[in-house]
Amino acid sequence: MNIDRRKFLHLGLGFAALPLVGRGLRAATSSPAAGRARLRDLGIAIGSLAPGTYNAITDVDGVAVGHVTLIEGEGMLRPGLGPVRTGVTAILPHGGDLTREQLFAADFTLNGDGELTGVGPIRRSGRLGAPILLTNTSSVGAVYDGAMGYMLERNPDLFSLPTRPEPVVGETWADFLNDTAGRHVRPEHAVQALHRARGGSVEEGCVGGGTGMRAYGFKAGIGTASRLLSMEERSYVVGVLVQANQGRRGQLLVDGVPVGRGISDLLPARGSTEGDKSLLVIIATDAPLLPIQLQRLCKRAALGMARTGGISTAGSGDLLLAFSTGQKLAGEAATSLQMLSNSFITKLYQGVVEATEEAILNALTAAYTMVGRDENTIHALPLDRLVEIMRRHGKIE
Amino acid sequence: MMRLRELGIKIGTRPPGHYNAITDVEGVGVGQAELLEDDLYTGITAVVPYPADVKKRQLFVGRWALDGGDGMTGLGVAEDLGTFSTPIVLAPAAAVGKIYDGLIQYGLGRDPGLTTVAGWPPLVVGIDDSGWNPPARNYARLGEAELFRALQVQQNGPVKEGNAGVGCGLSAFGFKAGMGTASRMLGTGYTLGALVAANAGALEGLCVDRYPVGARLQSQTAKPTGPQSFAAVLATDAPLVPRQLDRLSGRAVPGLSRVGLLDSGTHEGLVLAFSTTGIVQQKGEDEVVEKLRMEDEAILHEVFAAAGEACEEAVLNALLGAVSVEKSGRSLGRLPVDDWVEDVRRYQREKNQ
Repeated sequence: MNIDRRKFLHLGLGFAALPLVGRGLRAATSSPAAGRARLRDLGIAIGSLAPGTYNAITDVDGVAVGHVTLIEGEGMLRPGLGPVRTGVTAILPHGGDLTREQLFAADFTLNGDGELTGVGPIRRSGRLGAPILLTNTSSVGAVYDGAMGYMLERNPDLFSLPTRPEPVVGETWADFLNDTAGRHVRPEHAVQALHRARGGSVEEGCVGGGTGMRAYGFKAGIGTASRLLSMEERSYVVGVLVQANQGRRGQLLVDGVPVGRGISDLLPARGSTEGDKSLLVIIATDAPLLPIQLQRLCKRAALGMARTGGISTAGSGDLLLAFSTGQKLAGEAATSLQMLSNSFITKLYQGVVEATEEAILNALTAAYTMVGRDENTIHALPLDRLVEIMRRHGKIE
Repeated sequence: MMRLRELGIKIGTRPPGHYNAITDVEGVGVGQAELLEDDLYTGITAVVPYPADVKKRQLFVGRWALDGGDGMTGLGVAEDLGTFSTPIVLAPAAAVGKIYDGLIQYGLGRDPGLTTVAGWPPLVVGIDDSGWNPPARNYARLGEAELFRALQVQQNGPVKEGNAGVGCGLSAFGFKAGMGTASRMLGTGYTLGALVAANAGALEGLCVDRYPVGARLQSQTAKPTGPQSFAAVLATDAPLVPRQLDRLSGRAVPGLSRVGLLDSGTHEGLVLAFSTTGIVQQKGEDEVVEKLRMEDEAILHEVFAAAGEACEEAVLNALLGAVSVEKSGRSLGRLPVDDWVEDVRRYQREKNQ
């Protein structure tokens, strides 16, 4: 969707006038419009492949996303009490019983200073049989616990399965805005996010696990995008969802344009200096891929991040996970499989690179300025200035 | 309850340390806590790699995993940085989230920044003890209280074996088993210790120093049921770097196979090996160039052989250290000893002549 500049400016001003943070514990999903804008709304399109209907990971049939966003309190940090700027994002790879109908999956560690639980069974069996949840660093245990309860309730025979799945929980560091020590995400929030998971459009920016996150010195969080792939008579879709918390200002590139160098003000205010941060990437596709092919997809998502300027620093937990909904593995004796020919996988690579790049940028354009603990402030990427810079570089007419 | 050496049987050629336990490695402590309720016989085991009053220390770690599947949290850092800085906690798989959450609390107490040098990320190894404990009950009952009890450890003390910690819910070769430990002193002056959570093995494969004890007992017991898994932790004060520790982990495998714990029926298995020499030795700040030591390749065979010996003996100690359980109408007996001890002694005497 392209919108004209006047309409865009109106949108931008309207959202700038909103209060910076909510009041009271807000654990509600609002409409997709809660984000400020999506990159394509600004007339900026990444790559050459077309996005799916929602330009979201949910364009892969059956994939559902749910957020629980926890925003409460203002002012000075009182460890254990707040302020709270965090949440949890749940991704359900399909609508059935995941533990009984598992999917091929693989993970890749670009830089390992992070946590992604549950990859053991994925590496052992090449299968994903658990929901995926994203949160902040100190809440991994609670979210894992909530997901374990959810799985045990749905399948009391979980521990009798030949490939016993474990909850997949990833984290990034929200300490600049959030009361880390408070461990405010509790197991019931993880369950709530799983119950809220839906197909269709996905709320982006300061939501769910992305609530307290920043990227390239701007407010960021959750972002998503997708690409349609046609291969002769067949068509597939690949979708990416990121929890973006990586990179330094000067690094930020948008469609190759050094936007970060063009906006040297609006740096995170108060608090500590910019630290090493992390990116979580979840990739879904309906193309029938084997685990070894899915691992190759994960590596391409790293290239998508690189195109936004990130270099994966020493302190980054840049962790990537890909799964294919192309075939469900229900434990039959000998399953007939399909496998996308390796000679067609390049197109999928392209889709992953483009969608990852756009998902990260969507996290930036959707997120609003947020004030957190100690009145630490992370500014939103100013959309008018982004458009101006892109126009100057001839990327927008 | 007894230990293999009390029966006059030795494994391998290298002498054990003072306690013949993983805690013979300087600074290493083991803490265990149990939870006993009507239908639960469970617990957790913590290997604390350095004294709690050491604020910052980053140790090197290596791994070997059956089927390449590391059933542990903290994997990203362990795999990519080759380091860890927290207790290694062995816990029933259903309780991993609560134990992880408790370790976050513990880590925050050490460093609110949750850094890789001072207590993050938690390293929790999930062990499937559903052969005895219903996962939903473990999930509902086991957690932080047991963790913090287990973390009250003394460095360099004796280690309870058999029905202890996470070993409460484990069985091996169709008998009650659980935790076992052993150590070896190396000619080079270093020590290696092993701690094994034994929950696998088929009776016909049980061997003591390669003598087929299981074959002698075939008729006496029920078939093993439930999950077939193990987890082993190796500790050494030999200065080894992560790649060497990966290799050391793999050298537990011959010992675990010789005793029969690891066989074709084993579903899950993880070995972690760490060196107590590390990167950060009570310094406040990172330096541009850290000072390390690394042992030469030439001594590695000595450490590798010790790992196999210690693991083999630790599994037998897990069996011999266990006591029979009767609970909620179910029972699990311990390995009978009288039927084979004389045979193995004779076999060892003849072998050594």
